[in-house]
Amino acid sequence: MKKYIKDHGVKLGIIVLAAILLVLISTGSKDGKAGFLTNLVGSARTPVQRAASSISELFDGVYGYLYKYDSLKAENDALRIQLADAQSQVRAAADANEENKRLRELLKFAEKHTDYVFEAAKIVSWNSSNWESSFTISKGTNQGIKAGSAVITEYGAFVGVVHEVGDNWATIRTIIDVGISVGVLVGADGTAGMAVGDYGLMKAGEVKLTYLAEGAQMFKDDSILTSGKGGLIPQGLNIGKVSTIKSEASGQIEYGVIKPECVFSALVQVYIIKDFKVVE
Amino acid sequence: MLLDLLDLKKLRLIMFYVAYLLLMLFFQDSVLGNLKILGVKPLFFPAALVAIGMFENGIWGGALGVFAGILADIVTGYTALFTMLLPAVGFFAGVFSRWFINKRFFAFLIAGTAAIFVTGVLQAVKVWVFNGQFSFAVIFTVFIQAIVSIPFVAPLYYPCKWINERFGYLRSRKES
Repeated sequence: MKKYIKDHGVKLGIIVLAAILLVLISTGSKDGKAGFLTNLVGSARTPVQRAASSISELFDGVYGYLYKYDSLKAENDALRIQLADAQSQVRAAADANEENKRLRELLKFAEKHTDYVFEAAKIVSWNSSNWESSFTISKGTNQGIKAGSAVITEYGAFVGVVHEVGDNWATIRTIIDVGISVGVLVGADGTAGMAVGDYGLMKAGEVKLTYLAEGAQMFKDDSILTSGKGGLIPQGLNIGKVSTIKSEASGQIEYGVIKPECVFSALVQVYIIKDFKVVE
Repeated sequence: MLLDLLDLKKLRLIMFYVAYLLLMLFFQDSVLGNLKILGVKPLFFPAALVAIGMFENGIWGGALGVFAGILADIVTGYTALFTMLLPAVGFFAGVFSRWFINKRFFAFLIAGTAAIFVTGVLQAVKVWVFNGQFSFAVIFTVFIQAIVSIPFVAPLYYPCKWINERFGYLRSRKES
């Protein structure tokens, strides 16, 4: 026995230990709770696994950087393009939304004036000169625009008149431009007069009201509408209101200063009245 | 060979000045057209012709002035104001720089501002003649336009100096 243990003691010890471990493992997790040995092994194994995982991730990262760099760069570029597309779509949607709002407002105006034929046009650029107030639009004779036609906002406020037309462009002189001259009706009684551009007032965003019929009077806050004389501009378009009444340098003649209804700095899109029914 | 009839150095110089003028006109129309200082938009484009006239000569200034004037009239919508004015500006800048003033920075600054002032006077005359309006506001705009344009005139000197030093007409004549 003694000799047997001496010869095979280590093997026996290992077998006995393995049997004990087997018993402990098999009996340790009866109610779902880890047994002593499983718990011990698990506790010891977790930090080792974490370290191994970190090292593995590090190597994976280095491998990825070395071998997947090109594919990641290409993917990144593709994602950038997708992002730019998405941003472009968002901007287009915002523009469409704004345009939709303007067209809804125009629809209200158009319902009252069913004879008007409109052409919507976006402002391309404002004149860069100090000596006139005009802008260029992206529509021209190809869209049926004629020189002298009236231009309004979506609310029906008078903006100005078409001054020059090309195939796909036109320049619009605003109502405050130094070269403009439009027949108007003043106040509730509709006295005839003229809105005439004045350089000093143009700089202040205003226009002169003059050539009133003899004996006619104007008052502050009188509304100014287009008279429709000449047949190119419809009657009754809202130009603005009389903000002040002044006298010419001689002191003999009075003139009014019109504050236009249209806010020129906020203009994005305008509507050209291509055709309308002339009221006799 | 037809190609031998062409002076490539001159062509290269013209291309540089044409590019310079187009760039300046774009800057004038698109950037300064939306900028107001003291209620007035700066105008610096005529000073570009002063720079060309000063560094090359009156003939070059006049010839490129025709090109610049036509383009400026198309862009600004004036009838023919710049087409008539800019060749004269370019030509006289060349004449003055040859006989009366030097080609240094401050001489250019004064000549360029003077050109803008003259442009302003003619623009005011146009408003007076065609629209019958002449008031304090008109005179004020002429002066303020010239004053607020000075900071924008100043940088025009250096690109022309650079083009002249490397590809200038007189230099290319000496080399040939």
